Amino acid sequence: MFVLLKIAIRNVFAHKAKTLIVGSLIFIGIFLMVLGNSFLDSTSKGIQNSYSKSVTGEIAILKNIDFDFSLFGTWNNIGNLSVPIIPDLEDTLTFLESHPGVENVTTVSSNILMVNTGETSPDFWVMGMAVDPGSYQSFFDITDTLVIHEGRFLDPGEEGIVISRYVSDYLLEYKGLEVHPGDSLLLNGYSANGFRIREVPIRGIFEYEYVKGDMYPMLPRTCFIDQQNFNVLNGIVISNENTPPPAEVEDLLFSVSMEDLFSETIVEGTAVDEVNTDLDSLLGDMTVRHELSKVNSFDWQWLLLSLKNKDDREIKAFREDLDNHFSKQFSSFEEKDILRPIQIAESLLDPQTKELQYISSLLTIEEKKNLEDSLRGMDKDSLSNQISVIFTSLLDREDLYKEEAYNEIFFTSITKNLVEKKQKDYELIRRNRLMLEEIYPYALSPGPDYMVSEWWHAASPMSSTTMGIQYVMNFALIIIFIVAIIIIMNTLIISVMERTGEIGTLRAMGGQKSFVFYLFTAETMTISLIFGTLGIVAGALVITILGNVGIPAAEGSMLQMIAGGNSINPGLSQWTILFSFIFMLVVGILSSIYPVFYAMKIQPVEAMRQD
Amino acid sequence: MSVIKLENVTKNYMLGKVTVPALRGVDLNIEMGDFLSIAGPSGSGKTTLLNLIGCIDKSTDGKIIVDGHNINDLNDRDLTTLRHKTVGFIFQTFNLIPVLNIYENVEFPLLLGKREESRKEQKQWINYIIEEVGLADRMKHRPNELSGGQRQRVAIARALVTRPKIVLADEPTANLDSATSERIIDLMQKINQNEKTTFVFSTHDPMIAHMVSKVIPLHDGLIASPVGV
Repeated sequence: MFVLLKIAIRNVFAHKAKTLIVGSLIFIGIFLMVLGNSFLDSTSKGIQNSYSKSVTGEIAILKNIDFDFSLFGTWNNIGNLSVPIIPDLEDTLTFLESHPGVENVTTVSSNILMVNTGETSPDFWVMGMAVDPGSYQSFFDITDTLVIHEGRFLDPGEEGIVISRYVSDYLLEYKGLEVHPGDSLLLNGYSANGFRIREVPIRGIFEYEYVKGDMYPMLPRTCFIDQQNFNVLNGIVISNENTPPPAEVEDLLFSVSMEDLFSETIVEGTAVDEVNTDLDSLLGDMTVRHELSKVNSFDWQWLLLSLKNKDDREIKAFREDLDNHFSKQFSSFEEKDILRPIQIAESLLDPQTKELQYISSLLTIEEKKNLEDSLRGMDKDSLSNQISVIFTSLLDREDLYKEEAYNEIFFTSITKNLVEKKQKDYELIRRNRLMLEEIYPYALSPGPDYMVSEWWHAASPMSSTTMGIQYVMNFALIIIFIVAIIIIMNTLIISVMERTGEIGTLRAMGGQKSFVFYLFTAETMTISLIFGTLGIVAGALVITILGNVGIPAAEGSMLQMIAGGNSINPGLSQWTILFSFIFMLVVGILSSIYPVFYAMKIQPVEAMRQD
Repeated sequence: MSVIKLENVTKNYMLGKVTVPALRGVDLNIEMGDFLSIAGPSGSGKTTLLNLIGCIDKSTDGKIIVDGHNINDLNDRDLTTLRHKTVGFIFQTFNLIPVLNIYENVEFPLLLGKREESRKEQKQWINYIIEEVGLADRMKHRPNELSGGQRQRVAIARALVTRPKIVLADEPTANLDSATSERIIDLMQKINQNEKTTFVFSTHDPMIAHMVSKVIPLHDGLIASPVGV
């Protein structure tokens, strides 16, 4: 073994050309790798700092939805969708605030709002970020993360908007509107519940300290607004929720007669030259309007958490724990549990009484909601029992027995399957699951109500693009290494060919094939180790110097966001060194496989060749 | 006692699609302790015959027995072991390992397989044969610091270090001047007498032909009548 190493090491010095070509390739590759990885490490840490410190916190929670989302709107081919409000926020807040791993909690909502800039000019959009000023200020430490140019941030309970400097500059430059704290902005909001308009006073003009770059317009256009105005503009008001309006509001609504609304006397009484009545009397009683605009203070889209331990792995672990917690709390069924309600369905679906599906389609929204409420939180057995109780009681309801109930068109194939074959295998039931979900909208797959995501998900698409640079760089590195491996392989093959006589001599003198294998592997690995280690050392040296000096990031540049501060100070992690070391060995092994096997095929008779 | 026995051995080479016969039915019997030379002009098949005896090539047909082993029956691994234990090689171009010094070059074959002697015995033996070939003062030198004659003497020492029954030398004096050649052959003769090692040369040097006890004349792949002393 010792002689192998002795020959290998001496050959490294004896065959200088080969050593230099292979060695310098490995050196440059590993050097670049250490450099690249250290930069990626520090920049991804920087991006994380920028966003988690200023915009997202470490963990973002929202209602479980089946489309992609971010704090800056939901971008898909349908267009801008609104994120739904978080259910049961009050309980969850209490739970999270007392959680030992959580440092801080705040709530936000976000959506696009239009700034009305006068009749002749088209509207201008901003990214409205509704905040709870009290918790938001302590969560993000806004004295550090925001630069307030004019005015101040929102006060708790106060109505108003804090606009970004980009927005105020834009309004001045393109719309001729000079705005300052104390002025008001006319904001429009569009939602599934209609078009709303609100006049909101400006409280301040700000700029993010760390999060920069106008690659994505959402970030510079972000404006902080109070929850009341935001929710009204986005139609998130009590009257739009599924619960019926309070009785007094209902009374008020229905006390207005058609004649009051459309009688001609009103038109006669408001001739243009006679309008000197005050605005209140013209608009009439505002009670209804106010009632309809009431906002539930627990209606928020996002829950942001900052954690005590901000380490990447800790954040990920926390996210998973929280995910599990919410899944356990809210998900009553897994796929295998589908069988149970299906069995109930089967027992209910007597061939003579095929009403079940019809009944479920007859349920009103209110009935479905009641059903959902009564099912939530139950364990599986009592849930199953409850379902059969509810459906049995529904079967007893006389008003549901109508002629249509027996109409064949309501019986889908699944109903027939269930009726005709009582003993079915699991596969069939599984395939029928989708159709069964129509019958059991709540019991089949309630799933977790919450979606727990890490900061980068909430910050996408901005963060994901900057993080995408990592993938591009890694891809480039892989290409470099493939090319390097091919060049190294080529050099080694030539070297083996030149040493055909030597290999033949070894074999003639009684060296086994395995000896040739070990000898040439040892030579390549020696070169890899020497030059790879030099590459790591050189990389580490450069990184240490750069880390101490720092690469300055220009004010307001993209680099500043990546840096998460005013300069990039790359640091060397033990993972980078370990990863580079492993990579170096892999490159050494991969590039020597073919040459070594080529060498092993050389016959001992080659020793006799004279050329 | 016969150490090498060839029966009707043929060897063909393929040159593209043309078959070139190198040996056309050779019968040969070499006794233990022989000091003989295979002589003949270029292309007569000397090296081919040596390769077959040295177990580094396989015959096309015929039977070759080396030290009691039918080499056609052995796989690569066993053949390698047989070479290691039984055969020593001396090459025309010396074929020393350039990165090893003289001592290490001579020691090298011992490290290629399992040996019965102790490390101490090995060291004594290596020192002894290096002294025998007259290079005791050059032990730490690399091959490129030696003359051609000195290098060939290292090669002889290396061939002998495993105490082989047979030493094969392929034109050992082809790259040496005549005075040096004579000393080299003298040295081998001395070892032949002292150690009873069988020496087989291939050569077309008439001087060697005069110094050996037996010459096997090879012509176009066939042995003419042996010329004995």
